[in-house]
Amino acid sequence: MSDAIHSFGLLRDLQEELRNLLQEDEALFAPPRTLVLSENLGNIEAEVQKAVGTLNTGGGIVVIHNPEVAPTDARKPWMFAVTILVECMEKSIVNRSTTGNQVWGERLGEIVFNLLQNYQPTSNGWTPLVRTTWTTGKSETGDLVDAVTFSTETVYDTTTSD
Amino acid sequence: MAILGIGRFVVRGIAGTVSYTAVISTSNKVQSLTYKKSFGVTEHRDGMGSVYAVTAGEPVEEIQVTMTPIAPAATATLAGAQGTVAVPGPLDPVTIASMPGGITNGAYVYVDGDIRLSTDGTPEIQCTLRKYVDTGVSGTPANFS
Repeated sequence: MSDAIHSFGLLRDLQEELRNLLQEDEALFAPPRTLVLSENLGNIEAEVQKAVGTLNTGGGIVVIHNPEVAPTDARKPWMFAVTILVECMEKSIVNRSTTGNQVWGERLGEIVFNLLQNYQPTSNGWTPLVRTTWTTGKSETGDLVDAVTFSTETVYDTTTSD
Repeated sequence: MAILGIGRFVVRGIAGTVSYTAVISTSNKVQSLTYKKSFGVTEHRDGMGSVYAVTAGEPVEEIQVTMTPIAPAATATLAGAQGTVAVPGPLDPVTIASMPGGITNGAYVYVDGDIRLSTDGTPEIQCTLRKYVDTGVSGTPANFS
């Protein structure tokens, strides 16, 4: 079996690097702890529920969604651009309880913005992240969410492995 | 054997800085920059009109930079921002720093520029800067103005 199919690759490498960056930051990692999750398509809702149910997140959760590949610019077909949605959720019923971390979703959004804006990923030549949108509202499940979208791009190339 | 997708680094955005007396490097955001290195070319022809040699004149480097002036960190006030809406004086030295490799730093002088104010936006300063060979600019050169 080829190892290549099990390696992370361009997109997942980027997602994991950003997750590690956020998770290791003092503002998010130190108490009151905020959980940082990477979306793994198909199970994110289950992961959020699990996190709220069993981990002491204090009601704050940051979700790094899978990078979405942007349309190709025909004038520069070698460029490979993606957008990444970062959802900063406040489970307000938990967050604003006496045991909650009292950190509002919008403050989580600010922390994420401060960390990721102009951040230069170390892998695969991704350009510094630039924020493209930032919306505030409620999710389908009633959680307060600040959704911040970043964009980045790289020059796509290929290599071969054994 | 498997084919893997990889990404290769490319410069995006402007990480370098521009500074002069009224506008220090942290009190402006560079929006765009065009660098040009030009020189005269002389073709030497023989009696039959064929070129037998080409010589190049001394190069002149020119930068067109557009930037938005902002308040310096030390004076985080509107008055501080207003103070940065200014262009350099004639032939005043302008420092270019941390630009990508081919755009060399230092010894540029101001030769032209404008300030654009508008009702619906932030100020823009555009400067034309030149660097001449061996002018040895240090401090303010004579400008005869």
